[in-house]
Amino acid sequence: MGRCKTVLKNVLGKIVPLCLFFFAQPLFAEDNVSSALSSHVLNGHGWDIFPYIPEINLPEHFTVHLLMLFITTALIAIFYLAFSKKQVLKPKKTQIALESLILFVRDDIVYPVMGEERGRKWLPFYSTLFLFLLTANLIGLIPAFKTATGNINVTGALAIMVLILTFVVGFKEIGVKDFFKNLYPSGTGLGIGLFVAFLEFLSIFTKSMVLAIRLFANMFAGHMAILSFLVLIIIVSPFMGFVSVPFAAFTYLLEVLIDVLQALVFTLLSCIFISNASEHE
Amino acid sequence: MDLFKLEPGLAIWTWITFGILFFILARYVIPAILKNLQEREDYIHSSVDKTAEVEKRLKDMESERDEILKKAEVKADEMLLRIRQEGEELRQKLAKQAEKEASEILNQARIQAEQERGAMLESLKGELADIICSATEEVVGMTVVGEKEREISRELVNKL
Repeated sequence: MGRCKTVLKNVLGKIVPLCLFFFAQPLFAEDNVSSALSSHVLNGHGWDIFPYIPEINLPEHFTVHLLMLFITTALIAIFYLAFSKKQVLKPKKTQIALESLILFVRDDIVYPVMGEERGRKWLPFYSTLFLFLLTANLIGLIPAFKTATGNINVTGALAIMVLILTFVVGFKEIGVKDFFKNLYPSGTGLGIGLFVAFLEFLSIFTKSMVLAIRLFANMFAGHMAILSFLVLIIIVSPFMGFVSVPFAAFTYLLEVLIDVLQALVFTLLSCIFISNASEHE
Repeated sequence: MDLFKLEPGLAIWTWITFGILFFILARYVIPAILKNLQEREDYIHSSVDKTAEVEKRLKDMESERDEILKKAEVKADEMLLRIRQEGEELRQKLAKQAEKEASEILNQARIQAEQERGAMLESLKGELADIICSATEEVVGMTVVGEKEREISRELVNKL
């Protein structure tokens, strides 16, 4: 209990103000608030690491969000590769933490939805998806880093991947004919049946689209909310800081929860969509 | 702000980075983790089994100990009872012996007292006979009483 208090005290007293300081600093430096906001959340070729450090200009085809994707992949790969070589029978804190993420995906997402036998085959995919999204989401909360999942192209690509897998798995496991037959409701007339089948077919696409938009919107909105609170200091008055900084700190903490939750939601829904596509009705 | 600007390059790189990560995790990390987890699970199961076995042995030992304690208790009770009986017998024997000795002493004392009383009576009678004789002499005024008369007066006293 005492340890939790110390951690909370450190987070609220040191880390959050420090993060806010670095978040807010570039805003003060910008003349245009709108461009300050957009430069923080949108993709671009310039990477502003910290205030007073000149912006790093990335190569033409290399953007900040792409860099964040590389960092995300590298972080996960390095951590897990290093850890997988040093596994022991009596695990330490790091091993428990890294293992528990995989176990969480296995026991709370994949196995309950797909069953143990099928789930074992799909575990690497969903573990990768969850870790990828979780790290990409959380990395954006670190000052100087940006949220790649706050870009619709990234979330869209992942949603398209899930959509393709839905069709591939469905066609492979139950066949093309049965896949489309599942869309047609039994016991209805031809006209209504075809209409419902058409809607069902559309819903496969919309579900995936919603996956992409939900994640993108949450990530984008979270950062915008924090920045909006801080921008009030410039727009209204410096004294607004007494109100907007605590609100921003609260939103920042809330954002941590949302990042985890969104990674979970995306993975869980992907799992459900792919699993449902391969089931006979 | 162009939130929905299409960047096909970023989308393709997303698939590539995801694919690379998937390959690394699926090939090197997750099998190792699952294997390790299985080993740990087996280790925990075997430890639980061992614990259950030790617990069972402990229970057996406890029941054995209880049995031994019960036997010892019964034996102790028996010994206590026997000792009490022996003690009682000894006490009764000693009491009887003491009683017997006391009655013997009492008898002896009674006999001795009887003897002493007899002797005293004898001497009293003799003295009474002497007094009678002396009184007779005083009355008669001369010594007429010889040994023979004294004997007669003693017999008379005895008859009284």
